[in-house]
Amino acid sequence: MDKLNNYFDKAKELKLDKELIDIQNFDSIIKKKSIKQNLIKGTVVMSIFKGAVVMSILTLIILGITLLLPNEKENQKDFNPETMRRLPIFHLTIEELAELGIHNFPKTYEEYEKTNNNETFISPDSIFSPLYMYFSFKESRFLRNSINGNIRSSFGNENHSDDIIQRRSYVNSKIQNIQNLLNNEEITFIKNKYFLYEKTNFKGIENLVPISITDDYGYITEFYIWFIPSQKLYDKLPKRYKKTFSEFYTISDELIVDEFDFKKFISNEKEKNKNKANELVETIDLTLSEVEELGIKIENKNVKIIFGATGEKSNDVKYQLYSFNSEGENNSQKIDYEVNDDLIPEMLYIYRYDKFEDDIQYNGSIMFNVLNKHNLLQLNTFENVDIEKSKLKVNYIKNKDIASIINQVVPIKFKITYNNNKFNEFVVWFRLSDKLINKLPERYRIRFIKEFVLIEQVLNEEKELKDLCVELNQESLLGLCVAESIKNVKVYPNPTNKIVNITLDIEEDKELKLLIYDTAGREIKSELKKFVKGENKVEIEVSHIKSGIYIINILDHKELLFARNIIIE
Amino acid sequence: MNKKEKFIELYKLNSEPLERYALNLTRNRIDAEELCAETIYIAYTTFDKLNSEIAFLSYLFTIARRLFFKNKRKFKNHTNVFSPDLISVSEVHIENKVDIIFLYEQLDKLEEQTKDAIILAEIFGFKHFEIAEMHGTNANNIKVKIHRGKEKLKELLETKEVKSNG
Repeated sequence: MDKLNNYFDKAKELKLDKELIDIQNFDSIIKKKSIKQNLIKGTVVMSIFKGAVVMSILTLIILGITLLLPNEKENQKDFNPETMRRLPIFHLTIEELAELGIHNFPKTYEEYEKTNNNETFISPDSIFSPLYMYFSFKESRFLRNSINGNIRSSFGNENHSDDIIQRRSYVNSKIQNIQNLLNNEEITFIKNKYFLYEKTNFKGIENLVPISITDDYGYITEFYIWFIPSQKLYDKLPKRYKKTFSEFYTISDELIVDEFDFKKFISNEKEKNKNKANELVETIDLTLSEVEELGIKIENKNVKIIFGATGEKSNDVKYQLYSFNSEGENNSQKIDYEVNDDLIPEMLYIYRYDKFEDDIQYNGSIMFNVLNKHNLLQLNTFENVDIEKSKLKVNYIKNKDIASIINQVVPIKFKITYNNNKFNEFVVWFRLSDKLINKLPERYRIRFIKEFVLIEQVLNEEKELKDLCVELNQESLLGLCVAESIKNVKVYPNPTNKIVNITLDIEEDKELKLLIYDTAGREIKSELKKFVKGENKVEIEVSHIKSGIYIINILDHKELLFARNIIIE
Repeated sequence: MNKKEKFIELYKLNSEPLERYALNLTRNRIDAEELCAETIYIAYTTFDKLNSEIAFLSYLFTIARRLFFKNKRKFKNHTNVFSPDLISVSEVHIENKVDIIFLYEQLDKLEEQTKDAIILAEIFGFKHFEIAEMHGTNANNIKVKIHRGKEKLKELLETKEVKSNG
């Protein structure tokens, strides 16, 4: 099944380039459809609309005729031989096509659809190997605005390797340029006689001969089969096209397109990834009601955000929450709420505080988790965090701790707009868990199913490690932020209002730095203290610090040894 | 926030998978646009019936799916082999592109309902009970369908690969 999953993974990764529907035109979509629905239902309104529809069709036809004619001329004018090129189209009849070795060509598009194997209508003794393709037009030939281009498959790709993947990629590379043409707007430049295209966009096509067999089947479908301009083709072409052919093509038996070097392509890709240090972390965008599912409560008036809150007030548990006034200014305060332990954000959040929607000013900061009992993942490299407009981009150096942390947490983004057009965007990082996935809206679930299996393993291993730690050293439970070189760290009292005591055991004499951060990542206090081997006790004066949640760090030069939340009352 | 604003906000967040699904079904951008627009209309007019916003996507999918199968004849191109270019013009690795076309070629050989269930489960990540609701059947049925379908698909992919290699 692995192989199968591999295929599915590839299909999953496809991302839509361009939106099909612009929801900004919501009103017109609804209006259009409601008219249609009414027509279908045959209500009384129908008769009224009927007149309108007939009128609009008439005006459309008139408009179409008036617009089409000048356009035709304009396009002619637009043709600039310096930047554009054109290819003559060879219209052949069915008999003439048979001359080229293509017999029993399907007479309608539906028939063509049924012939899964293109070789059925190419005679085996055909001396030609047409490369590709057809497209079909839904509209009349004279109204080619709605072109429905499609490249089906190669008829003959006898060239090159036996390896199917290589052969396919070779053919694919050949048609890449043709597809580009189809997907760009230049396709509207198809005339009855010429393909027009931008010189720069297109490399291989000028060496191909487009043979069209439209005329026999009316205006619904046009097939184009592309041949290599060989001597044989020239011999078999109807007389009327020989002159055009020799004007436009140099006779050649091989398609001259830059060879697609598959191996080189792969190795280049690998090389690129190797040096990649920037990782793009895509956020999960949720609406406010979806966010509430995750236990983040948002109270409107003065916006208050309560992580992990069930919404019921309680006298026992006191937690800091984030609160903003109607201007979007931070106004954090202490509040009593019962906390639902299920889904507490594992760490940090980044917020951006902006003036106006069109003039966004980012003010990102990554913070510690403030609620979890076990201490969290640490990420203090503010200068390395960089937010892109809609996605979250975290730059980090591979193989450093942060890389493993970022891979374990999911950034969930939501937006709160205030009266004055200002808005804050919050990014809350959750540890990826089964619970979280189940509470996410289904549009995001697929992203995690595969990852989750991996992360589950990592978490289990971590858990085992923690269990081991319990036997050895109770304090190691505090998590990732306790280094091996210090033991028995205690921070008390917590919450406090005057003094914080820290006791710890240390293996050798050292000068350590004590740092206090606030929740926005600002340094509030920094002290250098000498510690001696064995048991130590330090007092930190905090009475002058405003009440709130802070983080204490102990650092040996730049290496973080310990981190813990404290609440100052 | 009124009904319209709420709907638009939710749609914006869910539009990508829906549009991809529409392309999966119709295999043609113009038809997919039409299908999405119709889905939006119906979803909006019946928006009040939606119980939970979390299930908005499967709500859209159900509507799109029903509309498609109801008016299948209208969508001529749905028998074409699915091409990744419909969805993404750039960025798709050429090797992946080949594999995706290959996968869809094989998927098309499966029975319509099975194919749809597999696509919903494997590519769009729906759970079995959600697909069952969309198909109007029970989860066990879907589970079996997906399992058998995947077995067959695996077989098809393998034989095809062997053939092409040999």
